[in-house]
Amino acid sequence: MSIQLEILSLTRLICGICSVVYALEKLLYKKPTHDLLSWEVLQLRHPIFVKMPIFNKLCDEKGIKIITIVFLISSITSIVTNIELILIFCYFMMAMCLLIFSARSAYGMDGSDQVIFIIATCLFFIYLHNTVIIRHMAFTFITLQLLFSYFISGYAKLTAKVWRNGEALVGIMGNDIYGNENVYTLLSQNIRISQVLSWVVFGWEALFFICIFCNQHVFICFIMVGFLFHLTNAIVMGLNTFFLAFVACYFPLIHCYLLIHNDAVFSFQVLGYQVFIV
Amino acid sequence: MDIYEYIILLFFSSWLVLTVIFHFPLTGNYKLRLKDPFGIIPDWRFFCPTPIKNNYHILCREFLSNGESVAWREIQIIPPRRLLDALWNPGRKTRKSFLDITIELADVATTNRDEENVIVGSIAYLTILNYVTQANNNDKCLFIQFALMTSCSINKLEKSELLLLSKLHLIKDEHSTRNTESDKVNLWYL
Repeated sequence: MSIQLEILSLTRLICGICSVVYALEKLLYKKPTHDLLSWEVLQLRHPIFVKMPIFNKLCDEKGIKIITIVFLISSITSIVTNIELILIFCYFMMAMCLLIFSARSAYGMDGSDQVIFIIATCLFFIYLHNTVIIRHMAFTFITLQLLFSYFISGYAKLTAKVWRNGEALVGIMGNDIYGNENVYTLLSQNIRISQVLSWVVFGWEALFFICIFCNQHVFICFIMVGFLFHLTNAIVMGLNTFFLAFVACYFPLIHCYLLIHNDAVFSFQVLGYQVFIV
Repeated sequence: MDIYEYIILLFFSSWLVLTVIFHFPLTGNYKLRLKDPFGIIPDWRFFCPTPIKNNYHILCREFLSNGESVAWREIQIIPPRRLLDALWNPGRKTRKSFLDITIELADVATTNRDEENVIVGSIAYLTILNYVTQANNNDKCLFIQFALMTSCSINKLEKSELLLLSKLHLIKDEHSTRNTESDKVNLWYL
């Protein structure tokens, strides 16, 4: 199997797992009393949708549950099948479901939704017309979005004083939604540590794009730091699907790296074993 | 390259260009966002340029038909965080939604201090009002009022601050039996 197809399978697998977790979390969440996001209110934001009876039906509580089930079935099928026609349908449905979730409510949408949507759309186009050029284009697009996301996130933090002096990280860790009491205590008592960590985070983010031009060892270092960064975010901040979604983007990044560096043999050590990607 | 590949190239290029345009200036190109109800253009500015500095709290009190009022109490909308969230985090969407709503409501309340109608007509205000109204199960309740308060998440010793005190909202007609849920929606504007 060529490297391109291996990359495609791995991206599909991680994106599929991420989507399954995403859908199951949405379906199995036990609301304390009732839903915070009521369609009766949310529809006021987009009066044009109210005039569309089908959209209204899709966005009420029952409709959104059905869409989530469709999303779940498509995600599972996208992992287990290799039949292109079915895959086209699955990724189309996944992308459409995500569009409806997003149109129904901008509240609660985050980076992982956006990344899953980008990957699902790219995979849809790949299977719709499965050629080497389309795969190159789709992987390059995912890579450019990934590099831009890190760059803009790092650059925006760099321009904010509260990030540069370390207060922002303390504020996030002290927050009920993303925070962690132990980390908050540590950082609020040692603002210097918070400042250093902040600079490491936005420095790494802002400079991430250079990894694609660096040699293999530097590239692997950047990827490993990224993996650890998202893993830490998942553990400390509860951003579990964020971790999976971004890790799924690393495979197209590796593909673009190999493309730029003339399909160089790609090897690195994991737990003492030499791993080769050729 | 065939015609299909050119179309896909154009599609990806446009998407990428729009993504870049949205992020400059860094405060966000909201004119572009308004034209994108499906959220196709991603927003990659995680926790910036204005990071989270506050915890938000929704409090509510009821005015009963006998003229008495029930003391303020905090409405627990979001589930507490757990260690397991790293693997399985079903409350993530509700927490993020709550954060987005309260940030928007705080923003509307501070920028439109003298324009009550703008605040009361905002989606964030109506979402919270809808929630507290439906969470209310006191049969004697006639009016309901909610408040949005913030506490600093950087220095937790700092005092909490009142950001918004809602109007009194009639949730039950004194002369009728308890309203159905659809009636409540219509009564918001009374």
